Amino acid sequence: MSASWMIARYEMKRAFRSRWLLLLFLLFVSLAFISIFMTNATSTAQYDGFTRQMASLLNVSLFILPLMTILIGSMLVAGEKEDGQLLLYRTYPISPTALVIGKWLGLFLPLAVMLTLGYGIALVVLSFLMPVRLGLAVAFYLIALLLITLFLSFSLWVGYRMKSRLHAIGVSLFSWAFFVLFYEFLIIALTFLLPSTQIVMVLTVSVFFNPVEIVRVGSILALESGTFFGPSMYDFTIWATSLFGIIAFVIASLAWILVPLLDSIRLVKKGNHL
Amino acid sequence: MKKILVYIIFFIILFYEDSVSAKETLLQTIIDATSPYDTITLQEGTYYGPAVITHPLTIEGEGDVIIQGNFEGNVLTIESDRVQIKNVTIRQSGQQLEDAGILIQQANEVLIDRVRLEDVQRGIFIRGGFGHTLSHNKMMSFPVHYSKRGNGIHLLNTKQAIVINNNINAVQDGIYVDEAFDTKIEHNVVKHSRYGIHFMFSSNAEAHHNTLTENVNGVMAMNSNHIQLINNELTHQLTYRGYGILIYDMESMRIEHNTISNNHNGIDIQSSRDIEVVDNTIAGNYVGLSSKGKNESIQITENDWLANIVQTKLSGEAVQLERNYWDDYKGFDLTGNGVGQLPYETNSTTTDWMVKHPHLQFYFESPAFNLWNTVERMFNRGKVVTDEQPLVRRKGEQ
Repeated sequence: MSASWMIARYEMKRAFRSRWLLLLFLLFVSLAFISIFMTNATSTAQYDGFTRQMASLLNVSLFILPLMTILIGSMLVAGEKEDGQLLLYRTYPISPTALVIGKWLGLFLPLAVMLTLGYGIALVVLSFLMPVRLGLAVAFYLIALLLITLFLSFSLWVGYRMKSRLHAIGVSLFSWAFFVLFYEFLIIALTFLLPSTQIVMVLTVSVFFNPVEIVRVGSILALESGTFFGPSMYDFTIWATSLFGIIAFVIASLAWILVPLLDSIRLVKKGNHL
Repeated sequence: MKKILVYIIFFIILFYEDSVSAKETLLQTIIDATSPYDTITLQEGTYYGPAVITHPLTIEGEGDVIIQGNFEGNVLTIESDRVQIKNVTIRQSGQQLEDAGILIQQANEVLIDRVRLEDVQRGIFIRGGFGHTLSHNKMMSFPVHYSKRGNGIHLLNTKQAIVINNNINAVQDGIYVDEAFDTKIEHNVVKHSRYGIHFMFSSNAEAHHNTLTENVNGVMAMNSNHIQLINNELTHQLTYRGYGILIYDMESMRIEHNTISNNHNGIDIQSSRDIEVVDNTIAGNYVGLSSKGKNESIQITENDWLANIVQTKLSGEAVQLERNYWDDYKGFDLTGNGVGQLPYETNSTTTDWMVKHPHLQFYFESPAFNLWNTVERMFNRGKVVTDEQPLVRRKGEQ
């Protein structure tokens, strides 16, 4: 553990010295300003529950944060490989597990700190200017944090899997587009081929194989707006808000964090493309 | 010793029985002792039904007057013109479908005022007659699922009935207007029921200043004509089949200056003719306006459409949109006359698809669907319903 903490500290030091973290901070602040301002200032703020404005703000997060996280994680790791730093690490008496976990922590903590600062500053500034619904601001913050957490492991895995930065960029962009856009179209196409009795089941299962869907569907349910999905998804909403549903969401989220990490450890052990 | 104990118990039972029957005042006995057009004032206490009134009579309660049924049939049956019942509590009707707290039949100009109806299958059931007034009553059905409850107020075949200032909670249909003519429904509150106001086979009804909230449907209007809904509040009909106003096979209906917010569907129009929707605020619904089936001449004019997740789900071309304010309108008013230069386009392929494949609503406003919509807007689409003169400001906004 101390070894991974050492790596994490080193990574954090590097991150806080670098310019990309500052840029991310600006991104988070703007995202927070937009989300909090729009949910409170528009003519629609008086109508509770899930509104179109909230849907579009959720979309901004769903578009930007996965892209950012995947690119940063995979580029850093792949870059390290290209520069030979990973090879150097492997000459030290540090286990692959400590290395990967340290890397994850070293990226997650700066991102989380910047995100918290960004939303915190936006919230404090805006609450001087207008009445702010704290619950919604916190909801958007948690959604952003969850998105980063779910995609970070995957991004490291892409980095460890790929040979070079260029590979990593290509795969990152493709997988981002896949998770955010193609996946839904594929599932929609699939539902057209299926008998109608199986549609709800397929849609239910499909949620857990995509972190974007976990966050999107999970946050709509968490905002108690499950009827938003329409009468044909009634069974899903009832199930998803039951104890079993919540457990399924938690397990799926943990799987998206742990499985890519475990495979990354395996890859480092194996010396993949070092 | 044992014998004495048995005697004592026997006398206690005898005495107890006696005391109950002594207190039990039968309402029918009191009614039978009156002449037509008498007024009787009931003092505080419990009076036992069921009772039937067959001549003009005014019954008024003073203090806490309870008229109690025996859980069989109707508690009070009125079969005469000009009966007035005021300020009493009526409870414990039978639990059969037809049973009511008050049944009014073969009668005209009956007044029911400030009556509380509790534990009744139906509240007030009026069969025929003209000029009835139901005012300031409060009612609640048995605590069972709404499919097993009766209606709060059921007007069957009435003329010129006035339903005003009633508070109706947890019944089947709050106010059921059934083959009724010239009905006025004002300032009522209906909550936690199936339909707030239900029109069937009726003509010439006016409902204004009613609050219909947390029901399955606010207003259900079917097979009727010349109905006006004005200044009502229809909110929080949020179940999966929840509609603010559901219009089916209607002719000549005017919906004006209502607030229709936080419902699953705001307004749904099916197979109807001559429907005008004017100057309403339709906000925060999952679907603002939807139409199905063969409609004719549907005018949607000068409404505010705010924060509905899907503004419209329209099928067919009979719906005409004119001078509405749409909060998702993306055009500008360059000439300063309050009207945007570009038309507001309603349906997109995605909403069309959602009408045909309801499960796609699962992805509504998701990143992929959103991108699809945006890309689609860049290209010319075929048939879409448009508002050619969308307003750029809400009502009352400078």
